[in-house]
Amino acid sequence: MGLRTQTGSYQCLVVDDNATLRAISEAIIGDMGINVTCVSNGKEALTQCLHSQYDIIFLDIELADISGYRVAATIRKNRKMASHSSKIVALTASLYSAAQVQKCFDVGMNDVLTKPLKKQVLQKRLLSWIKKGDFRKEPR
Amino acid sequence: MIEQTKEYFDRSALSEAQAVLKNRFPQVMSGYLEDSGTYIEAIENAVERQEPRLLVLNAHPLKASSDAMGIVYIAKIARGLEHMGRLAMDGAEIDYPEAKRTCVSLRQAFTKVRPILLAMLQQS
Repeated sequence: MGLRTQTGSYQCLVVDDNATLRAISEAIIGDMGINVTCVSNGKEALTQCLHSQYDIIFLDIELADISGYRVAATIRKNRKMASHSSKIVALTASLYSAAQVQKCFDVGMNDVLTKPLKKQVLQKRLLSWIKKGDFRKEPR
Repeated sequence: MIEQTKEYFDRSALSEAQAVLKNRFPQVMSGYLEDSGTYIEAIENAVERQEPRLLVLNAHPLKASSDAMGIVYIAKIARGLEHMGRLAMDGAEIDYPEAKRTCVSLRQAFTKVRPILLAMLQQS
């Protein structure tokens, strides 16, 4: 089964305050057949997560309004959020230290990727998540 | 034209951005150029006012988007300025005359690459 067929029903949220990087992420993820919603700040991300159930959230950790760490922690703490149990992937443009990666996991993120997203890296990672059964199997 | 200033560009990253963005590439590149001008102005102001947090806030996205679009020379200068800002936020002293010289290099680099990229957009 092709990746597009496997990911066709997935809903994804991209949170990045940089329009160029947001457009690149949207293009790469959308090209894999995933439905993408983009927002440019932490506040909008929390509103989206409250009302919509996303399978994956790609979250810039250096947002200008609320840090990605705080956004992730808020999603995990609040069971009323529709995306409370979504897979959260940190996006960072900085060379990160082991401590930063640990902080991502400590606040409830599931993975860390560097920006800009690379198509091959994301495809590989998606296949590994699907293989591990990280997503709902039934299409919505 | 890119050949004449090849140290400014990573051609494979630029090609990758074009391949990924497809027909949205011209729009995204135009947006990148506009945003970069704004970031550079804000970086110059941050250095002038000696505000390291503002320096980081603007150098960081300039670095990331320049890397993504293959404009590596600008990304490299922005990375250096971001690093200076982060060190200052951790209590180190910034060499502001040096930071000002770096800002001049950044402005010169942008002045050089902008028309090349605009010409590329007109051809596409």
